[in-house]
Amino acid sequence: MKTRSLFGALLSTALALAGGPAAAQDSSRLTVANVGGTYNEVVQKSIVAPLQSGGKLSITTDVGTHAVRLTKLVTERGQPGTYDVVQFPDYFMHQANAYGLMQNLDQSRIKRWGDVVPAFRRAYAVPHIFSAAVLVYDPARVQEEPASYAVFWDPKYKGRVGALDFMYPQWLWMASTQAGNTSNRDFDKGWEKLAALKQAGLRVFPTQEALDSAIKSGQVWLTMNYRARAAQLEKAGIKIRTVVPKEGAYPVSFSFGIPKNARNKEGAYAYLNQILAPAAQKAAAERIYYAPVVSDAQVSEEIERTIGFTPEEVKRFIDVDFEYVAKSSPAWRQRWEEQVK
Amino acid sequence: MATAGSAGRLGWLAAPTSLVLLLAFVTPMALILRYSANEFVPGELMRDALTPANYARFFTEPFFQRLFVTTLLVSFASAALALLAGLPTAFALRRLSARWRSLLITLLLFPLLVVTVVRAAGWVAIFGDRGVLNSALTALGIVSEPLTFLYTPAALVVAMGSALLPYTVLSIDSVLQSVPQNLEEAAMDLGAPPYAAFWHVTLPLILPGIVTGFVVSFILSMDAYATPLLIGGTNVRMMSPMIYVQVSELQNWPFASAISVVLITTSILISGFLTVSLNRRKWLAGQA
Repeated sequence: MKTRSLFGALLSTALALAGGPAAAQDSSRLTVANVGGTYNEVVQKSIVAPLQSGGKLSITTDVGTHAVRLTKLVTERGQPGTYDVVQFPDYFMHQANAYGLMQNLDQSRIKRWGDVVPAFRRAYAVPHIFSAAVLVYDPARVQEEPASYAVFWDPKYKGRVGALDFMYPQWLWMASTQAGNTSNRDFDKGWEKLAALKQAGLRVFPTQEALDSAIKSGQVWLTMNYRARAAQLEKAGIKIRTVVPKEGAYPVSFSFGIPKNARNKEGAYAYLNQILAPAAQKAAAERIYYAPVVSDAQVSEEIERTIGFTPEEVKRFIDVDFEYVAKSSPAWRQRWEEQVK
Repeated sequence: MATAGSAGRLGWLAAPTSLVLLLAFVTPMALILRYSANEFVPGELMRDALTPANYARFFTEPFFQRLFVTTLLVSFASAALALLAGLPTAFALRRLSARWRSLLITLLLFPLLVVTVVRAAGWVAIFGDRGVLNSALTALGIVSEPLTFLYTPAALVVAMGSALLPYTVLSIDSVLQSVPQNLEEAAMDLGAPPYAAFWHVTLPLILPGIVTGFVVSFILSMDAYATPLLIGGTNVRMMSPMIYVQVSELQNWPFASAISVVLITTSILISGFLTVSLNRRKWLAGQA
């Protein structure tokens, strides 16, 4: 018996013994995996609760990090899956799809598919929200609005730059722009710049919450983060500002898809439809400040101003080559572990 | 007195433990050993192979060499710190009345009742840039800017060493209890200065307790996960957190398995070496 099959057999037995989701799943049970924190709170209130209110569907949510979720999908390849619906940021979703783990969706079963902004439509996932990684700074300590990401290497801010661990593709892209890269590939040009930044005291934080508290306590003055996250911090009373520097911003959308080994696909489609409901889109915008992916979301002008991007800024979004990013990510991740963290 | 026959029959009493060990320890260990020779394919977890490549990578890439050396040094230093602090405490325990003794043992065990993550969070509150230590130093005018304590090897060793203290104290104490105090007094009566009485009489007798305490502390340090993650951060990296990263984030199970095998083998070899050295010393003492 191959070791992989032996592991699969052990895993299935363990799950069956535990009476877990893999034991016997009927059409009234749905298992969804997504990221935690305030994002999960919004998901529970605006997607899970309305679906469960009819009493026909019982939804279990497995909260965890994107990388761990992807590993679980890879681990269960070829076995009956634990998850019926999974959520990922676009680059992870593309990677899961490139690994052959996601199924192509029947778009005729997504009622509001036509309302989705075309840039966020994918064959294998329904988008939920979007934002872009921009430059975030503390205006009390960085008095002049930075025009370029080059500010991260300014000796004045030595030891005051913080990075989020899972944003390594964005940091590598940004660093490559400082080494002259203007394309949406060739991110590897950025390694030397990142090494120099590490030498100058770049601190890598494992979670958004850890970075937030470092900004709050004045340990970090400059970082890269999603504008949505910055808006959340501002709302919490932390004085920060965001800017799309001349090099541009790295867009991100978070979406939900159905793994090939999902066992309640009917329920999964019901879930995907709820994601695009106007109330769910509005809830995400108002509570976690991510921009809606449908053209008809009824979001107040004030919120739109805080979380949205001007047409000029959108023009400077990098056109992410997901195939390139997905293919390169394992090697980048390892190098990031070794040289930057 | 048990006969050979009754001992054989009583041997069955060990069956439940043996079964649990077989299922929960031997089988996973055998699987990990096998996985470590497999090949990593992104998106596939692993492919069956018999390759030494994962081990070769671990021992040849400077990053992993550093990881290995750091793990060993931090574990040695933490166990040594626990021993240095634990030895006088164990002696103090011996001289206390039963009431005070049980109170002190309860206090010593108290940190073990607190979850590791919570204990580490306490150290973060002490060592942080705006933590207790820096606030005190700033308030006393000793420093004007906060010093960096968190994410340094010293902070990690202090946090781990303090958590290991109960193990070393109790190991030494259990042996010390069986050493008659009048042996040391007899040596002094015969003219030995206190340090010589300790060195030549007490220390050899309590050496098994010292070695056991050190070995247990060393193994626990080698395996530590939460404390290195929270106190060492990304600056002082140890092997257990790296195994998690390889398993859960990089999906490289063969390489994670190889690191696990290296970790376990190193722990066994060093513990075995210390125990054998102790027995050899005892044997040589018997020959003398």
